[in-house]
Amino acid sequence: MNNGRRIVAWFFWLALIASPLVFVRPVYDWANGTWRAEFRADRWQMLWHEAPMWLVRHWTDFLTAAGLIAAGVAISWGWRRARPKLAAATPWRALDDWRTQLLGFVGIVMMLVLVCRHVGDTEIEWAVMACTYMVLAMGLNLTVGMTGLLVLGYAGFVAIGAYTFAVLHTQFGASFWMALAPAAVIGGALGFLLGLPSIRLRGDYLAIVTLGFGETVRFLIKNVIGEQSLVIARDARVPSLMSENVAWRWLFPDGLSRLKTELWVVAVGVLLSLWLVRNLMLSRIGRAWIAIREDETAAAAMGIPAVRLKLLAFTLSAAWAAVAGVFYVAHNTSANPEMFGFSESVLILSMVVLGGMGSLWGPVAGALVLYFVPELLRDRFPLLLSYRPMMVGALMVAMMIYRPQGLLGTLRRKIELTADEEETGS
Amino acid sequence: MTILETRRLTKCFGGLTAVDAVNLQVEQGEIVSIIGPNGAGKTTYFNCLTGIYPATSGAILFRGSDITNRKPFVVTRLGVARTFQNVRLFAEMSALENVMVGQYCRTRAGVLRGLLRTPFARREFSQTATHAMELLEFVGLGHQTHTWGRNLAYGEQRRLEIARALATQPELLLLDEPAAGMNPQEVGAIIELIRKIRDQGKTVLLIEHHMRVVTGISDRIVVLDYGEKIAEGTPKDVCADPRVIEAYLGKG
Amino acid sequence: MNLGVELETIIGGISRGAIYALVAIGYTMVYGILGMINFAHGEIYMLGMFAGIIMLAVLTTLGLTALGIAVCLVIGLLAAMVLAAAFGFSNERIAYRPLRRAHTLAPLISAIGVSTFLQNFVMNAQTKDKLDFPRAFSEPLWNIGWNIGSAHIALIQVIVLVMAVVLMAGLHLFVAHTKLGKAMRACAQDKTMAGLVGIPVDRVISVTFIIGSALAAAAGLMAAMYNGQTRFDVGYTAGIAAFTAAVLGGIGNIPGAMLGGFLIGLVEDLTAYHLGADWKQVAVFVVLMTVLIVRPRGLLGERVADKV
Repeated sequence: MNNGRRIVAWFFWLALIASPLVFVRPVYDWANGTWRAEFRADRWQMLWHEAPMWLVRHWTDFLTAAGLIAAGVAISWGWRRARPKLAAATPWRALDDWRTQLLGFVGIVMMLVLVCRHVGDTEIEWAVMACTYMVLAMGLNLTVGMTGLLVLGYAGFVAIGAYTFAVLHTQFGASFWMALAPAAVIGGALGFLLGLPSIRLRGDYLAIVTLGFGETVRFLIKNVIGEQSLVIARDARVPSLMSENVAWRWLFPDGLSRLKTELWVVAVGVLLSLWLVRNLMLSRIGRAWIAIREDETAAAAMGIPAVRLKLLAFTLSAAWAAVAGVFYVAHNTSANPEMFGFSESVLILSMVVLGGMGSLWGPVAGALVLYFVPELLRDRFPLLLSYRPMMVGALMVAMMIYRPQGLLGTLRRKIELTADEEETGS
Repeated sequence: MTILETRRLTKCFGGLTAVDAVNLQVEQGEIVSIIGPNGAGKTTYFNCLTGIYPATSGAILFRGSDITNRKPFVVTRLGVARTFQNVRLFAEMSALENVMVGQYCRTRAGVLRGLLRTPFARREFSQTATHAMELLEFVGLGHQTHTWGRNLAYGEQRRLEIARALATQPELLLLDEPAAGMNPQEVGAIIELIRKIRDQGKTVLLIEHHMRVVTGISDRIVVLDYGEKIAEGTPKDVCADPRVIEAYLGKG
Repeated sequence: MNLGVELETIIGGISRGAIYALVAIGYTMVYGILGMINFAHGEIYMLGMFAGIIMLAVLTTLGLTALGIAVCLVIGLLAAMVLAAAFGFSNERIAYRPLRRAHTLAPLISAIGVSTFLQNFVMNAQTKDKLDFPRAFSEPLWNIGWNIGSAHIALIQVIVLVMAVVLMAGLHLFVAHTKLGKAMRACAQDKTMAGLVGIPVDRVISVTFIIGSALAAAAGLMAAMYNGQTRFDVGYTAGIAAFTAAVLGGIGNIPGAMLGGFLIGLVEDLTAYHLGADWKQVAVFVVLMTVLIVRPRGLLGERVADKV
């Protein structure tokens, strides 16, 4: 049990060095004009009295959590046992089959209809944001996950798209749909321009450069466009779809409010992104990206123009972020520089890392766990949301050490080759 | 036709001359082995040929045109492929995908067609996959198509590397110690494989320490020592050359 | 142009540069030995500030200010250095050591995680507003000063500069003349060989982190004293500036980090004077991009040939 003892020792050591910061607070004594150090008895109290009570009270929650984890472990264990047989039964081909895809599509549409009819606005808001993050994470996955380029200033590209829309709107009255293409072009162009000098740099230097870029973008926005929020007028956002049409009324008794229409739009965005990423993974370019990630020298020796392809990944990912940025602003109804800081970039990165770098569904899972779940549990466990950045940080460390492939690993589709697949041409 | 020629190819690392004015001519369809003690500069020579290291001086001519200091991926596209001394497979990809990647420079579907998975892209995908299957069969890995690179046995990994190099449709194949670490049976299989490759019309230049491989299949042997070419000729001549014996065994 | 103000700006820049130099040393030492960028180093700098201020507050509460400003500051400095060293040590053991053999991006992602964690930890544990430095300890140092021509130097700037130089000199002596210092140099050159000749590489790495963190904490406290305040997120901006300084001087090169620090301090203060405080970050980024594109090995760095 040496490991157990080490963990306990580390726990006490960390508690020890953290305590000065947690339990002592410098307070300015206005009466005497001096500083004094105040011992935070309230926190001490919380540690020894309230925390244990809270733990005891919530024992059911811990049981549920333990059960879920056990279930997850059991499923992944069973999956690993069954996978060789499943591979022989070619289930992936089922997903490639157009009939399954159609069924999935119909299922999702039905689910969305039900959600719009029965679910409240708060939850739909969470869903919309979670889906936006899914799209963002999938875009980041192209560079970080598939090509192995760490990008730390992703929020900068989101900001570029967002402000393209905001500026086009305030200056030229552009609407949401009209801004999508310009944002993609400008985002991609700026990604390309940033990539040109930087893509040859070593991995960690490239990361810092992208970080600096993100900050510079934010700074330029603040100083050139202004610190106040740019508001998007009602008619330029995603519209609400109310109609007196009988069929519509039957489907959606309350019509589709703006929020609900946004849910449909972003859901389409997620599905579209999934489709595009899957295509990329199967494509010649996607394979080359993964080869570059695995061993760039060997990839070059196999005739892959690494610099060109890295630049391509960079540009595509930037354009992707910009398009998502347009939606983000339309949903938020305003844009201000504070929305696109480093912590946003880190949050999106953590979704990619947690979900599984280079996997198709990983970013979806990451966004669900890191955005949707804390929101869902915000009443039960408000701390999850307020301490989320700390959780994100700790998770990233833990993931790198214990499970660098993330939750879903590089669960990539197996490429099956039989005559039927070529015939049906799925 | 002289498919490869190096004229006084030299590579220095600071004060160390790793490759010293090596002249070499390889005719099409030949199998030439480069041998020499460890540290003689053989892999460095390969790295210069393929553009991984910029040459300090000298020229490299492939099919008559100068390829000195061209980027590695350009050299491969022109028809020179290689394997590595320490196997450098793409670990997180299956054997099939490894070989499919090798065909990158011979296929055309770009990012737009890839994103949308157009009929052209799908057709090219099928062709690429089929061709990859054939190459895997050719090197004897037909039963391991979906095994991940890092899960293959060592000998299989080396053969996969050869298949991947062949996927780039090279005219000249550079093999860096293809028989290293193999048992006698596997060595025999490698010899057969190299012969099959040559019978397809390709030229093979290999670095090897395994004398059985070297003497068994080489048309010519080139000996390097301390970066210099000290001998060249048929296996019989080279093995009797006193300078070669001295390089390997020392004086006296 | 007001020459006096210009000169003052330069003096200020040099003082600020001394602070950056101390932090840059930490980045460069870790990079030299582990080949990774310790993204969380800026947070250690910030921790030093908070720890030092807390210590000073404690001293005031205990009525020990009678000991004099100098003594109190030294005690605060020591407290900051000790706590920061503890955090730096733990950081390496928990977040970096298990990743020694992982691929190159893993330690960086882990470092980002640690940085995020520490920043938010301090924000939640202490305060998310700015924290003022106890003026009783810094004001007297601002009040004493000298005039050189039309420029004015305050005692505090001299103290910051002298402290930084003392610490840097101490480090140089340590690295050049002690056994442990020699071990550090050996590990920076070739970790595997150093291990094979019997150097306890893990311990050397821990010492590297401890020293780097202590220096950063000292720098932090002095910066807090100089700027009068601090916040939980100063580590982020200062970290990037110090990292740029390390790259400018030549990453892996300790004298280079010192030189880079002074240069970046000058760049920042001159930019702030001529263009406005907001432009400091952009200037630093421009310097970083320029160095990485034009001369990646920095001013004093050596070109390294990679063997394939």
